[in-house]
Amino acid sequence: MLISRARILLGQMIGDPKLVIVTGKGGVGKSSVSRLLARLAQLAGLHPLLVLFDDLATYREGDDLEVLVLKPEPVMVEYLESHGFGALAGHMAKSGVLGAVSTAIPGIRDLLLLAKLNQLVNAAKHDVIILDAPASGHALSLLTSPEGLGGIATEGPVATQSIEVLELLRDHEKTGAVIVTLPEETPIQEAEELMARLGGPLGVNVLSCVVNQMPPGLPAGAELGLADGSAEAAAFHYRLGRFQAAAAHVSRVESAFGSRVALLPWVGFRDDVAETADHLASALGEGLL
Amino acid sequence: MTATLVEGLADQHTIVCLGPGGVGKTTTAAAVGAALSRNGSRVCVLTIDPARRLAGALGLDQVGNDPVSVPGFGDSFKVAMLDARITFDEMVRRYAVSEQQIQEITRNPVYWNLVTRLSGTQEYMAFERLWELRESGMFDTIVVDTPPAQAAIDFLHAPMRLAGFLDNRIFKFLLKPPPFYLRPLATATRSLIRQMAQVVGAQVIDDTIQFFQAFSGIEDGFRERAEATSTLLASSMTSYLLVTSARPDALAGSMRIAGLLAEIGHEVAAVAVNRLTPDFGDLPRSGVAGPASQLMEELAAEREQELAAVARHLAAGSLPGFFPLDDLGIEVASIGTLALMSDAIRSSVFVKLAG
Repeated sequence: MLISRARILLGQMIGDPKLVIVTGKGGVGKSSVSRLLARLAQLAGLHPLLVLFDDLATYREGDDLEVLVLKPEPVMVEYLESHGFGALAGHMAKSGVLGAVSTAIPGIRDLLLLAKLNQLVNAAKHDVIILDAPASGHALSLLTSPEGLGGIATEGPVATQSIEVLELLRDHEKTGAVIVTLPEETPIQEAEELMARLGGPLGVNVLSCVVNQMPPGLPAGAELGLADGSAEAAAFHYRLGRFQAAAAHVSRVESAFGSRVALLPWVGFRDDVAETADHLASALGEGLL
Repeated sequence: MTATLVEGLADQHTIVCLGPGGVGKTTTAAAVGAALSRNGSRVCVLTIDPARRLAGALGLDQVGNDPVSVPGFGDSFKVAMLDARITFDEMVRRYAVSEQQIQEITRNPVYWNLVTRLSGTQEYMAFERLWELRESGMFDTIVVDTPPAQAAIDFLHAPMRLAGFLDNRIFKFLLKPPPFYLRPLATATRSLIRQMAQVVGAQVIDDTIQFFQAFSGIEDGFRERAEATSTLLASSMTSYLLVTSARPDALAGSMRIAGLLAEIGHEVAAVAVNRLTPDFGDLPRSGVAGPASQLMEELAAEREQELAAVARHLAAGSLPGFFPLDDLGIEVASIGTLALMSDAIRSSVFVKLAG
């Protein structure tokens, strides 16, 4: 893909933030889209970092893309180690104190993950950090954790951390969210709810809504000469119905998100997230967006 | 293995629907419930999905903790949506000894965190609710919908995890003097917790300790119920229905769930593969290569690819076969389409994998 083409696509989908939070309902292809965005950034000549909270999805050995898997417990131990606990931190993890405190105050786990992201953004080693965030429900509790903890922990380093992370999340220059959805009823409904929650009370900049897996249109002339009740007619109406339903959902998304809607084509079944992202990138490179 | 899905599930007291996100699990759970009720059972579908999707699918706006009838399906089919907060509150009320204890627990910020944030609390409350619905004697079968993705398996551990937390020995050390042989450990714990307070703030630690203090005495009731629920989940009257689609990521996620289920000694009773590209019959033999037959070829190839992916993943997960549910070409967003989907479930016949 041409560098200029990759830049245009990236500009349309995310603009120029430092941190991009990719979220949406489960099963809509967040991981493929996160990887696609990182890949586009790479093609545009940038140095991206893809951050995962779960290594099941997209981690690939010998990857040419820089990928970081963040896990709650090591992040907490690292945080404590750097806050004067030294070797005691590991002991706290082992003895279960850490587990008990983070169970009582689950937001702490989330906050420290976000604080780690904040640290990565501030370190400025990468042009853009793409976070393959958890599914909507958990993403919202993740993003509300600094606010919730700000109310609970009123003193100490965690309180300071909460304020810093909130500032990062609300900084429309530095941070933005991409909502991934499918052209189907419930994912669209969830995208609208996420949009309202993220943009509203949380004050996060919603960069775009990516509608993934758009069904293909019908071959030209497919409607001609169809006999009523024939198998061909049934197949035609099935495909047409799916296409029309998808189009109706897209127009609904467009009324909520305006011009910030990107459509991604259905690129077929693939087992591998990275492979799907590569196919999407080449489909986009051919000007299918 | 029986011929149809409905026959296979008919005698079960509890049917737990598991599966990854985005496969239509909630609507499948509802349609399974509807199909069973049309066979004469009194059925309740309990959804614990926080997105309130079942309500939308059933055209009901006000589904709550209490089961309600679905218009057009008669009195034997009911749906309920879990309200974890109300269920937890009621549970605290049941086991607490005084109004003061209730207030001390429910007003503590740690309680709020447990109810709203802790992964697993919702699942735990779902099983508490399931227990209550069972006890009511109003239903022959209860179909439980579960949240998607990794969380799907959490629910099986949830009862014991929450009970374990409420029973936490580390915090108990802070509440009452430990036996002499544990004193060194208790002293070390105190010192760790004091240091922890420097990072998270003393208030957080105080709240946590107060929470355990307030909870003291009623965790036994919680633990007993958790154990009873675990027994119910392991009993032969509970069936696990794995709902998936033919998408590779969904299939991979489903096999992970099946594996985790096996690890804790439960087995998948049936697999339903949702949203398969329909079979439009044989291609026309006329040999005319028009756009319409091209479309049919495309759709037939899609279906073949889907079935091959299903067979490959199920074989890898040592599952013998599945119940196909063709894509209806319409979305299950109304009561009319729910009826269509429950018809599809009634007529779905087991496909046994070769080998």
